[in-house]
Amino acid sequence: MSTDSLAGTDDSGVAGVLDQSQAHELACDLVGEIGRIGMRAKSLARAIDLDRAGAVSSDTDLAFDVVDAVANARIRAAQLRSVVGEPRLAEARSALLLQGLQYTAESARELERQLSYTHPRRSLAAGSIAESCDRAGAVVHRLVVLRNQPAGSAAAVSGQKRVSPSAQWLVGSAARLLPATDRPRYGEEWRGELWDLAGEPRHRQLAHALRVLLQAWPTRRAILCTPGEDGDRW
Amino acid sequence: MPKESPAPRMTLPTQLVLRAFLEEPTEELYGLEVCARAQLASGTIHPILARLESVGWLVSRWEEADPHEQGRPRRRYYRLSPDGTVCARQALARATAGRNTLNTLRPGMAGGATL
Repeated sequence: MSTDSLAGTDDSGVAGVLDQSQAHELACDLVGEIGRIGMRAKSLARAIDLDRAGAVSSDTDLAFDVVDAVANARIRAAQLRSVVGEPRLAEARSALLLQGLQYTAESARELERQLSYTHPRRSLAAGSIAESCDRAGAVVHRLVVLRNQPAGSAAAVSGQKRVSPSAQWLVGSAARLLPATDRPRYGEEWRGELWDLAGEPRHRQLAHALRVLLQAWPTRRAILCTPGEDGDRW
Repeated sequence: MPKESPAPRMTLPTQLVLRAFLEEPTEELYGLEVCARAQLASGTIHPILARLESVGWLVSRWEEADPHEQGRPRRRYYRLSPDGTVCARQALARATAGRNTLNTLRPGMAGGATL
């Protein structure tokens, strides 16, 4: 899952109040994403070091600083993941993680600036690392805000009390049958439909969720079906 | 001239969904609205929407409202694309013509059921 999808800026995303399992899943994705940023930073640092043939240079030092900063951020993200169910601890650890990501982004931007004179392509790579850190920071902020939603402050919470947990589980199961890249979008879309049925009796919500689950495999075929294939069964 | 796109099979539910969109081609509908207009059971139309979206007849987007302000998750809105509107009308016309031909050849077939 890219930081674009984590930040909810495209078809996947996070919306509404997060329950604990969703928050934990998001925190796990965040750790993975910061890990991937770290790999990109390492790759960039090695490339710069190779170019310099091992000679001391400020570019190389800064590049490895970015690598270390991302590694620290990943540790902090893992610490956040372990306390995502405890609001006060999560808020404290997310503040540390945000600091770390901000420092990493600033270092990456400085590297981008330095490399712009000597190696424009690597400068772009450094800039991309900085942007990814910013997006990860937006996700952290969103994770903490959504997870710590006060109990009575939004109709979403009162709505959630009326949405059957079993129905939510069924639509979640349906989304897991879809291709990985489509799960967040359809999961959110189907959860949204349940919210629209929040005023209906529980058995209607369950019936709707069951129909969604029964149609999950045909939906998967429709998503994967290339035009022209005879995949239509409805 | 709309580009050639492979038409989805015109099953009855697919036709009902397309007619729901063609009632107001520029209007955006979300899943439950489509079910209500097409008079199909809720939760059953997503394979159809996915298929129509995959061939470019439908486009979709997330609602722009803030979930916090709305107090609910975002909705996914669908509407016919410009090419999709043309293709849908043509496909429905073919489906209707085919059914009329069938009724002519075999009057009273299936009780002469019409949509």
